[in-house]
Amino acid sequence: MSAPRGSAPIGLLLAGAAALAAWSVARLPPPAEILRAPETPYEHSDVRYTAGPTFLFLTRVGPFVPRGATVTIYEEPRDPGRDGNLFEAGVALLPGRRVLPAAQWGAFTPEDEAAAEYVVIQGTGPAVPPGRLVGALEKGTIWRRHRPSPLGSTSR
Amino acid sequence: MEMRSGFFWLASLLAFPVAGAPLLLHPSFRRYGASARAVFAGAAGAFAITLVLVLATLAGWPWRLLPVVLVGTALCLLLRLVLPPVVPGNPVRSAGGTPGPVGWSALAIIVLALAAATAAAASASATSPDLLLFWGPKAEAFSAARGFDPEYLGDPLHRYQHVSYPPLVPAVYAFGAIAAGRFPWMGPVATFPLLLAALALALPGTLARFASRRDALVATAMIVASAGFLGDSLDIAGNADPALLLFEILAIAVLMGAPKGEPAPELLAGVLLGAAAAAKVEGLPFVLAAGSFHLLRRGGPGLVSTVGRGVRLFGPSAAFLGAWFAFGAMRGLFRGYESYGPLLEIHGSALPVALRTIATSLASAGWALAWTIPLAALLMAGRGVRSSNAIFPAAVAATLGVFFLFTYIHLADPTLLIGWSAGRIFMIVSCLLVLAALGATSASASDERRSG
Repeated sequence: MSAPRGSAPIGLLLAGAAALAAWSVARLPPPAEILRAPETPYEHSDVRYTAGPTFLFLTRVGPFVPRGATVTIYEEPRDPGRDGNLFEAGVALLPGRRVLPAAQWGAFTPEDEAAAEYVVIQGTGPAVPPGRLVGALEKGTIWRRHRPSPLGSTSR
Repeated sequence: MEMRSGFFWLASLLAFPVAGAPLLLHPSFRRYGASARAVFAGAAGAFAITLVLVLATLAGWPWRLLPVVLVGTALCLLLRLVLPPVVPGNPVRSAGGTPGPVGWSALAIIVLALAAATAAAASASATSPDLLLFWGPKAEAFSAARGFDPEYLGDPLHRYQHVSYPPLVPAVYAFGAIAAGRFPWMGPVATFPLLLAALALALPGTLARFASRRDALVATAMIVASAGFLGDSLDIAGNADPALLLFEILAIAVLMGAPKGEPAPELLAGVLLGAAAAAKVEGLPFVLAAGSFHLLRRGGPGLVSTVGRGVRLFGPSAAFLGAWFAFGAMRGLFRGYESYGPLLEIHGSALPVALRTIATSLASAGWALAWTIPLAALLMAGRGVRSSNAIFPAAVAATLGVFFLFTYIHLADPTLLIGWSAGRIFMIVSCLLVLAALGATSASASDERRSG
C-alpha cells in the first residue's frame, strides 16, 4: 500500500511548522522574564538598548512639561542621528505638547531647538544650563528656558 | 492604570465583530463555521468602522464611539442586503474527513506557535520600532482630536510619519484609546498574538472548503508557525503587518474555496481586500493582483456578470481609498501615496544588489525556511501544481515579489530600505506559497480519487 501523493508535501509543511514553532519557543526570553510585566514595550526587542531607556526616560519626563508647552529633547554628548530619534520618541511619548526637533533627517535644527520653552536633556548635564532646572531624573534633566526664540521656519 | 486601560483598550475591539455581525450572519457564510465567521465579522466591522471614521472626518463630525459603531453596523447590514436571501443549491458542506493523527499534531503545533507569540508579545521581545515612530503617535493624535487631525498630519515636522498611509490601524488604535481613556502602549503589542489567533480560528474552516480537514489544519499550522516566528524575529508586534496579513490571507483563502457563480464569498473577499487596502500601502497592489487573477480564472459568462463581480471584489477598496484620498485632497495633505520617485524612473544597476540584499534579508530570518519549505512542498505536489487553486496564490505571490523589487530599484542604493522592510513585506509571499502548496495537494488528491 503506497501513501497518497499528497502526503509528502503535507508532511513537509507539518515538519516545517513544527520546526518554526519550536524555534519560536527557543527564541523566547527565560520564563521568569516572560512572567514579569515589562517596564517598556521594548524590553526584550532588538532595539532594547536604544528605545527601551528612552521610552522609560521620556514617560517620566511627562509630569515636568505641561500640556500645550513647546519642548525639545537632545542627548549629551550631542549626535544629530540620536537627537532625531529622541525628537520622534518625544512626539510619541509627550502627547499634548509641541515637540520641536533638536535634529531631524540627520542634521541639527538649531532654530527649532531654540524656540522650545522646555529643554529635556538625556544623559550628562549640559556645560551651559539652557534655563532653570525644573526636574532631575536618573537618566537626564528637564529645563525651562527664560526666553525662547520665535519658532523656526520649519515648525511655524 | 496601564493594565486597566490596556484591558479596556482590548475589550473595545469587540465592537468590530459586533458591527460586522449583520453581514456574516447571512446564511451563505454558515459554510465557514462559527469561529471563522466571528473572525470575518471582526474584519468586516473594522473595515466598516474605519470607513465611517474617514467619512465622519470628511464631514467635520468629531468621532463618538456609539454612533460610529451603529453606522458601521448599518453599513454591514446594507452589504448584507446586496446578497440574495437564500442561496439555492448550496448545502453547507462539512469539512472533509477527520483530522487524524496528522491533523491533531497540526493542532498542537498551532497551540504551541500561538503560545510562543503570546509570550513574545508579553515579554516585549517582538515590538516594532514603528509603533513608537508613527502608528502609536498617530493613534494618540487622532484620539485626542477625535478625528484624522489635519493639523497634525499637515505639520512639516511630522512628515516622517507617512501622512498618506492608509489609516485603518491607527484608527483602530485611536478607537480603543477613546474607549479606554488613554493609549496603552502594550495594547497594540497584544494585537500580534490576537490576530495570529484570529488567523488560526478562521483558516481551517475556510480552507476546508477545498481541502481535507487534515490538510487544512496542516496549512494553518505552517502559516501560523511561520508568521509567529517571523513576527518575533522581525519585530512586527504593534505595527500594521499582522492586520494586513490576516486580511490578505483570509481573502485568498475565501476566493480559493469560492464556488463559481456565488456572490457571497466574493463580497466577503472584497471586504477583506478593502480592509487590506485600508491597512497598508502594500495592500493596494495585493488587491489589484488578487482581484484580477481571480476574475481571470473564474471568468463570468458575460460582461454584466464580470462587472458585477468586479464591483464586489474591488468596490470596498475603491470606496475606502476614494474617501481617504478625498480627505487628503480636501485638506491639502496628499493626493496619492508618497513614492520613491516617478513610476518609471528606476535604477537598473540596483537590481543585482537588490536581489542579493533581499535574499540575505530572508535568509537572516530563520534561514528563509518560511519561504523555502512551502516552495518545496508546492514543487512536490505533482500534477496539482498546474491546478487553478495552486496557480492563483502563486501568481499573486509572484506579482507581489516583482512589485516589491520594482519599488526597491527606484532607489540607487536600496540596501538600507530592503534591510528594514524586506523580511516583513515578504511574509505574505511565504503564506501564499503555503496556500499554493495546499491548493496543489488538494487538486492532486482529487485527481487521484477520480482516477480510482
